Amino acid sequence: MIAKTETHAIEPLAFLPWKDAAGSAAEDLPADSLGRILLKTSGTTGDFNVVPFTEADIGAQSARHAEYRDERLLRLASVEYNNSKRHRLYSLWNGGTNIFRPRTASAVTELVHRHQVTCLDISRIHASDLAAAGTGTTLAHVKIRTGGSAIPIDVRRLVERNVTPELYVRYATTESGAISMAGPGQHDDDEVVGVPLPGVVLEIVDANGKALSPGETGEIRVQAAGMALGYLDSPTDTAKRFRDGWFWPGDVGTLRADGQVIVNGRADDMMILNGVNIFPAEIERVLERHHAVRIAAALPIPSKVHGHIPVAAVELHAEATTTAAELQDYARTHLALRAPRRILIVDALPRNSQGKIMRREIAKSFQPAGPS
Amino acid sequence: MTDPEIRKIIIDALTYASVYRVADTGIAEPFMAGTADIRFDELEMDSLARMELCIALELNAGVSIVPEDLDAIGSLEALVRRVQRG
Repeated sequence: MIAKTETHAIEPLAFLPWKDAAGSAAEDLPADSLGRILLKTSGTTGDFNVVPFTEADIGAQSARHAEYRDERLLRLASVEYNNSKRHRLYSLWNGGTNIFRPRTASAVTELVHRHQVTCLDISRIHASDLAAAGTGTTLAHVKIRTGGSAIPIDVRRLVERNVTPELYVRYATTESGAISMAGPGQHDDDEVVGVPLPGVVLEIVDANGKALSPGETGEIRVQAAGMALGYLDSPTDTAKRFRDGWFWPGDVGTLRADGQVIVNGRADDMMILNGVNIFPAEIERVLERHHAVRIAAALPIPSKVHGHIPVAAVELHAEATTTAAELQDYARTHLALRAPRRILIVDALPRNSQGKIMRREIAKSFQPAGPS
Repeated sequence: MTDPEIRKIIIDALTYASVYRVADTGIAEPFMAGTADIRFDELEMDSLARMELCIALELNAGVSIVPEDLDAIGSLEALVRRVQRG
């Protein structure tokens, strides 16, 4: 890490053949617009992009995490993951304390106790597991931060009841850093992700880029201090995601009248079954309410006749027993037309290196036998 | 896909879509055995039930049928043959 005042003294690395959306070569760019902190986005389709940041960018993003100054932060994910890398840097920038998990496995509660951890950052799945197991009063004074994918309200309530009332759910992207964060008292039925943080402008727009009113659902776009300008060597994705001075994360959401943001899901993930819009998250949320289901992944099977046919794969809790038919009935009772038409029970859902579920991999398991 | 498998997909889909005439007529068992048939116009299927039947056939048998074509196909037995043809 280099001190903020030295940022502009850094020469850009000449061997990076980066061109921006307009095709400008790297040497045409001002020295400080070519970042040398390279973060990899977590592609769930096997593809990924590399995002260059300057030290000043990371500093600007860090300003949205000023609370780290007083925190002793433990993240269970390795710093090899970009999310962990960013947050370790934010903590460092703010003068916080970084605590790393030793190579030898230790129980989280023991690590928290031994190292006086005040802030524990974990995945949604880990948060669900901790909540299901219950941790008594061990973590009651620790802040739990999570994010990365929709955290169902049921899981949040369970964490608040069984682990800690100090639950924070973040909405962030690699390209922009933190966008918003919902804290204690903000978790309600709408599965909100909080109000946009200082330094962030968030708009919900229609297909023509026209800003929508509070309560209306559309595509999310953001401007944030320290946000990236584009991807390395990926002009197509840069042109798609970085437009008109905004970053378009590809999410569909709503801005509530009280200022809180609701993220409905990825625009690319939305299914349309005979004209009905269905987000994977709404199916997953229902399936994960079933006592036997640990985690669910819903996805579309393309159909020339119907558009997208929703299906789902689930991982069960250890020693839980149920059948696909029982889950199917359960889903239909709660989702009616939006229910997945086939449910597979699998030992483990395929995940990428960052733990995100790879829906396209799952789709391969839904190939019909076909007529003989 | 075998003949009994196709018949099971059809009966499961009609049951899922709450086509009560399937139960009322007692058709399920003899149809599964290949000894009885029923015309679509006798099943009193609404548009959602027709959609569910076509979704189930596409998803589980890999055969695309437009709901509007069911009447032209005629009966459950004819539907089995249509699915077998692919």
